Amino acid sequence: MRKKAAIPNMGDYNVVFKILIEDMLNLKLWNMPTTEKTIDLGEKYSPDAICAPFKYHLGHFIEALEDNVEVLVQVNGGCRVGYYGELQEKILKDLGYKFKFYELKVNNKIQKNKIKHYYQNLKEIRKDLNFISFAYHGLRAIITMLFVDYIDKIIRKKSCYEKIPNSFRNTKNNLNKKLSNSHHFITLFYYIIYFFIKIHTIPIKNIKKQNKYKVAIIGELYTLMDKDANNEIELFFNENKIEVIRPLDLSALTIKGSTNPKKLLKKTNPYIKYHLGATATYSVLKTIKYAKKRYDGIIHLKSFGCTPELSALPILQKISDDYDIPILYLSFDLQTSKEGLRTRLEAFIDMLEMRREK
Amino acid sequence: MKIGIPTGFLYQRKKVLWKSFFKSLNIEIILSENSNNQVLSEGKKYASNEDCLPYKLYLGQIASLLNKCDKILIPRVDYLTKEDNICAKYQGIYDVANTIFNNTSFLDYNIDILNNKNEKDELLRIGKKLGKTKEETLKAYEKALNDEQKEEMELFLLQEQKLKSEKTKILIVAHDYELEDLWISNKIIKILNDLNVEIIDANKYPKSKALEIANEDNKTLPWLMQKELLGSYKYYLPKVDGVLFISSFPCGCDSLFFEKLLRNTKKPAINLVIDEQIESGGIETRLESFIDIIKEKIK
Repeated sequence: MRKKAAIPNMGDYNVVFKILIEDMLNLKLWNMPTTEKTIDLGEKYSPDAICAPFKYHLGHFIEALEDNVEVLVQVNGGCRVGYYGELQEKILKDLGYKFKFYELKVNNKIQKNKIKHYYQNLKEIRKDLNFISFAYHGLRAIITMLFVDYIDKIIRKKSCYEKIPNSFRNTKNNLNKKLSNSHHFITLFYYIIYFFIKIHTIPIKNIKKQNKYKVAIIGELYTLMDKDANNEIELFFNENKIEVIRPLDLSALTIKGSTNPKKLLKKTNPYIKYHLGATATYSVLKTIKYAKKRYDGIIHLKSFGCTPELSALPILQKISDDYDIPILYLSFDLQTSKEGLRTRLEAFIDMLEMRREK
Repeated sequence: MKIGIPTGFLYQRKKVLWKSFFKSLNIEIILSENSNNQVLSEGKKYASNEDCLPYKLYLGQIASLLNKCDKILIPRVDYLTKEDNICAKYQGIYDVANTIFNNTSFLDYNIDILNNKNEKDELLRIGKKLGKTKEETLKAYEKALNDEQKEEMELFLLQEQKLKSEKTKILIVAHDYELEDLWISNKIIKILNDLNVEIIDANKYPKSKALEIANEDNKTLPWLMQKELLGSYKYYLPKVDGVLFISSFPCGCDSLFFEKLLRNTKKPAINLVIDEQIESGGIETRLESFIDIIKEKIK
C-alpha cells in the first residue's frame, strides 16, 4: 500500500507533480484543490506578516494531514520559499501531526552537475530510486511540463476568440485527465499529438489584427502561476475578449532558465543595472519587451509584501511613462476582495478601450 | 568632494569602516538627517505602503541628502558570502533610488561574493573613481578594516560586562538598522529602561563567529543577517532571562525566522511586530506584562 504524499498546489501542474510523486517516488499523490477552507486554515496557523503562498501551502498541508497523508514535500529555493519548509514543518509538528517532511532543493546556487544533484535529492525520499527510473520519469515530467505550458499559452492567446464557450478550457481539462492516467512515453506522445491537433482545430472567430486587444501579465511567480491565488485573472481577460500573454511558467522557470539574471541584465538597460532579486528582473525585462511591442496594457501581479516585486514598481512605472503603456498593479493577500478586484479589472479594460478610441 | 551617506540599512553595520576609509582619503562625509517624522513622510512619498518602515526611512534619508553633497553612497548587496542570501531590498535599492531620484549622482558599489564582487575590490574601484591612487585606497581600506574589527571586539566586550548585571536581562533580537535608529527603537528602549531592564543587543556579537555557530546546526536558513542573529541568540540565550524579538511589518525573512525561534525558545519570549504606528498601540502594556512574568519567574 503506497503512502499518501502531498505537495503544494500550483495551477494545473499536478499532472507534472504526479509523475514525480507517483511514478518516480512510488507514493500516492493526495490531490485536492485549494478552497476557502484551505485558505482559512492556512491563515489561522501562519504568522500574520508572511506572504500568501505560505498560507496556501500550510492550509493544503493541514488538510492533507487530516486526510491521513504521511509524507509532505515542499520546494526549497528561490525567494523566501527557501525557508517555508522549516517553519511549516515546525508549525505542523507543534499542532501534533506526525509525518515525514522532505524538500526539493531547487535553489539556483547549484552551479555544477544539476542532474546528479536532483538524483541525490530524490533518493533522500526514495532510497531505492534507480538512475534509469529517475531519468525516464524525469524526462516524462519535463516533456509533460513543456507540453502543458505550450497548451496554456495557446489558451491564453486564442480562447478569447472561441466560438463555443469554454471549448479551449474544456479541452485542457480533458488533457489533464488523460495525462493523469498516462504512465509511459507511448501514451504521453499519443496525447501530445492528439491534443496538439485538437487545440489548433477548435473553431475561433476571425478578428482583424487592428481589433485585437493584448495584455501581458507579469510579476511574482506563485501568484502568476496559480489561478486560485490570482482569482482566475487570465480567464477574466479572455472572457472579455482580450488576449493574454504570461511569459513566466514552470518551463521558463526551470528548463528554459528564462529568469537567469545574468542573461536578463544584458537587455534591461537603461532601466536597471543590477538583479532585483527573484523574478523581479524578469518582470522588468518583459515589461520593456511588451511595451515595445505596443501591447495595450501590462498587469503586474504579486503577493502582498513581495519584496523584489516591490523594488520593481518604481522601475515599471518609469517604463510605463516612457512608452505610454498603462500598467495595472495588483497585490494579493488572503483578504483580497473578489468584487473589488473585479471592479478594478473592469475599469482597466474600459480604459484600454477608451485609449483605442482616441 | 562630499559624499552623502543615508544612516539606514547598512550604515550601522558599516559606519566604522566607511568613516575610517573616507577619512583616510580626505573625503568629507555628510550623514543624512536622523530619522524623524519629516524623513518618514518624505520616504512614504516614494515607497509603497507595503514596504517596511526601515525602507521608507531610508528613502526619506536619501531625499534629505539631495543637493547637500556631490554623490550619495548606495551600496548594493546580493551575496555577502558565497552561500547566504540577503533581503531583496538590498538587491534593488540602487536601481530603485536611481529611478526615483533622477539626476542624482549615486555612488554604488556591488557586493556579490557568489559572482566575485567583494568589498575590497569594490572599494578600490571607488577610490579610483574618486581620483585616489591604488596605494592610498588600499592603505585606507586596510586601516578601515582594522578599525572595524577593533570596534566590533570592543562592543562585544562592553556587552560582556553588561551580562554581569544583577538586573533582569533581556536579549533583543532585531536588526541594527532598527535598534540603532532611535526613531524606531526609542520608545521600546525607554520602556525597558523604566522597567529597570538590562538590554542585551544581539547585534553586538562578532558577526563571523555568529555565522559559524548558526551554520553548525541550521541547514535551510537562507539569509545572512538572520543567521548572524541566530548565532548570537544561541550564545546569549543561556545568559539572559528573556528574549524580545522585534521585526518590521511585513518583513518576510523575520516573520518566518522569528516565528520559528519563538516556538523553540524555552525561556520567556515575545515577538513584537512594529510599523510606523509605533507611537500608539499596546507596546507598553505588552512589555510591562512580559517583564512582570519574567520577574515572577526569577523569584
